[in-house]
Amino acid sequence: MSRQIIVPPTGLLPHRPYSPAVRVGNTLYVSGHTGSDPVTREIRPDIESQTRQAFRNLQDVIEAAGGTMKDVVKVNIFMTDMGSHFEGMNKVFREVFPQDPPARSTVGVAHLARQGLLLEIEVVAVLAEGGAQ
Amino acid sequence: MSAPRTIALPGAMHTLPYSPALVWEKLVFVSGQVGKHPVTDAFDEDIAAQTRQALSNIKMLVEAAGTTLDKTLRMTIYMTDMQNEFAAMNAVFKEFFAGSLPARSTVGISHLAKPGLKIEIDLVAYKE
Repeated sequence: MSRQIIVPPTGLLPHRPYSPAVRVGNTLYVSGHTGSDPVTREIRPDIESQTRQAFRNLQDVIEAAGGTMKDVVKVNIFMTDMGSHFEGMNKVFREVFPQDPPARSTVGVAHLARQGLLLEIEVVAVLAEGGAQ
Repeated sequence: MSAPRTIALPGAMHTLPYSPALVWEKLVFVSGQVGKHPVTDAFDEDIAAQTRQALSNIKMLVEAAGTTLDKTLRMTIYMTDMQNEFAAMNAVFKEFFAGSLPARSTVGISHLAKPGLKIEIDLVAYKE
């Protein structure tokens, strides 16, 4: 087994000392992604926009590893205000995973890296046999 | 497939009902480690010292499991004051991880097991 670092097509690396995702065998561990624009770092104020952007960021990394969103098996969602934002997040989640959704845990956290961030999402994916490596 | 095997540090304080680390096949799962000394249970107030201790505890467990920190796949970091202490944590993080870095998620949480604890870290690594 070898450990492969996955970088999205933008080539952008996190501003902190970690990798966007690490693949070992067919398993892909994707770092927590927020709804921040990967280029401008802009954060939209509403939960639906942030959720959609976070999944777009995750999808870029998963596709860079040769996978698709259908390969996602586990999702962890960290939210700063589950009481207010749970429904908005779920609306987008259903768009992203319309059928056979992955296993998921969601917890409320006290804060995230920057003011204004409402959620952070990390996933584990198991890529189809024979996928690009 | 072989059965999972529990990893613990000799002499370490561990009275809670879970394994400090578990090896299964080629994967090593390390439970959340805080910045407490594994034998004395003492901890420093400051985030850099707590981060260094937590990562030292993890390093010892990963090595006891028969692998090394550079085989880390993913980590989760839980911090009680991420917005003020993120940079200091990342500076210490770089003492332990360089080059091919693991995937990572960091979140701010409201509290940990004991007042004064500021950081908890868990990870998954693999072994050859």
